[in-house]
Amino acid sequence: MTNILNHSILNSTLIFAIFSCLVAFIGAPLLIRLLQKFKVERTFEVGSSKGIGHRTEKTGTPIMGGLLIVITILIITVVFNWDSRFTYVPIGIMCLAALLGAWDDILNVFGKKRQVRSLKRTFKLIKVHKNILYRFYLVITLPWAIFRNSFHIFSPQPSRGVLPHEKILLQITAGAITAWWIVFKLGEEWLYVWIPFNGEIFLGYWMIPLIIFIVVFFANAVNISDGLDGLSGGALISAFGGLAVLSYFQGSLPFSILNATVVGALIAYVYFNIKPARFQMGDVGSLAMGSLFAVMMIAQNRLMLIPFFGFIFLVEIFSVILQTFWRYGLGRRLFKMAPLHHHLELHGWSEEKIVMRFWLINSFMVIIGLWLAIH
Amino acid sequence: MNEQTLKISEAGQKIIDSYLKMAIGGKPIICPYYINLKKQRAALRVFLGKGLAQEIINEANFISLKEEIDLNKLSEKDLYQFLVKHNLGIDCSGLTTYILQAIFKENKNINIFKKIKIVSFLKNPYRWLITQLRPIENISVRVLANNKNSFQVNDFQKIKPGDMLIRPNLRHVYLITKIKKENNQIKKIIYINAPRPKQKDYFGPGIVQNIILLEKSELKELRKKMDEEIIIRRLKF
Repeated sequence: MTNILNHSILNSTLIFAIFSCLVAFIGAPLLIRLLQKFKVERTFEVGSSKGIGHRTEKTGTPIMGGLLIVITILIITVVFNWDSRFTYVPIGIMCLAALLGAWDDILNVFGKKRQVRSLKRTFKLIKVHKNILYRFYLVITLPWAIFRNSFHIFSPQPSRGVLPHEKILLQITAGAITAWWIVFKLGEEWLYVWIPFNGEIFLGYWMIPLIIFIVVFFANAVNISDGLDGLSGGALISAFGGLAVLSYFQGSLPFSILNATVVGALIAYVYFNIKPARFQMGDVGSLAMGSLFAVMMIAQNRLMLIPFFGFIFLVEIFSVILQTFWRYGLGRRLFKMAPLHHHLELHGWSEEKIVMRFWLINSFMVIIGLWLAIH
Repeated sequence: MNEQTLKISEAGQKIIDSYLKMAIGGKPIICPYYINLKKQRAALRVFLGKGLAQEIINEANFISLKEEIDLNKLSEKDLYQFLVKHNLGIDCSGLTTYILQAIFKENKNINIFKKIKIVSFLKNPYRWLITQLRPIENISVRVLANNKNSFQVNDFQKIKPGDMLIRPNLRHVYLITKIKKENNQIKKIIYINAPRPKQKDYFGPGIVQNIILLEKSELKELRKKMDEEIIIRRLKF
């Protein structure tokens, strides 16, 4: 709060937001052409959301539009805002998540369908396989088989793209790097978690699993929310906008510039992503933005405000978690379809209505979060 | 002549109507029969022959969206076959349990899903937990006919709507929905059931309501007319 009248931070923040937006605006048509040329486009096979609204109209829309955001942020930060203490790890995590997302997107378009061997079949092979060594190998690797299969419920089988257990492992790696940076590199003050109205509590090394969980959770939350044109992009603008204001309050120039750069790139992205979308974010953007958002919330020591800044993403991911429990545990559906935006579509809400209401709700929650942040 | 008509509660009748007139594609469709013979687990109950009528309707609409089929353009026969093809239907114990649940809820405010004993915690804690989460999927004719849950009605003149007619091999259950008495003698019984189609590739009639007219008002006569060695049982609660 002491830096609230620091005009040089505000000036730099706004300049970088404008600059990043212009860079992304110039890059967008080029990226769209490239994606079209290489046929990195949306295909709809028999998927759970097929048939809702006007899904078939989206067939042929380029995906991996998130590259626009990631590349813009990466270039501007590396060239103008490279700070070994503050910005290199968030950018590193963003790039790692983007690589994972890009790999997933490419496999989704060009890859073959893959299937994980079911546990039932594994047990059968352990019993009947003629090669005793192979049976022994299957027994030894049984925990791994159980791990792989436990993620089946989140993905239809067979499927293209990175399989859920592979995705989660790489996300855990990204979370672990973030935890290492926060806990061992930024200093002891980052082992404290800020609580509104109450100061701070010391978490110590409990921060490590907490950070890993938050990074994995939010990377997936943003990924899940990216189901309607403009939805996640617009909600991310308010989230990172709030973070930019927060970093300005905290007087942190590198974070303030980084958040403003993200906001600028997102504005250009959403301009091309609103219905009818010229391109879609894809996993490359959603995983990268989700991870970056989580890292920034942690790095700015406002972890407790995550439910406010990322409200829509939390609602979306919880709708999936609840639906999964209802479906497999209770044998019924809680929502007509998860995530929540599909449920609302099936209720007759138009895509535009859902997207704009979700933007507004998230913006409102960010305002509440900012109010809490100054207490 | 003293005439008396006994029938199940309104809530029970509503459940029956919901299965007999499922509004799919703008037409009233009778719910088909489906039983989970493959012993599938962890699926939606609607695909296990244990779904409510509304759940079956929702799922049919949902599948039609995915498969891009306009249900409004299908005839009643095609709609029925669409349901059968996608394993959407109800089995006899599922139908009976839902009707009984509605009756007990309305008359006695009892949730029979909590009252029916399926497996004890001490015997198998894991199965017990599953039955707590998914009661309807675990209630079979055998469970309904278990002495812990129901008792046999031996006096034929004392049977009433809501009583179950159960095959001795515990493979099928009928539910009495209406009884007409003349001079305290049962003259007419209406029951509902979800019978299994007898031939392969034959879609069956789905849920049916039958009327049995009795002259002697005896259990023997009922058995003869139904061509079944049924026993009559009533839930204990």
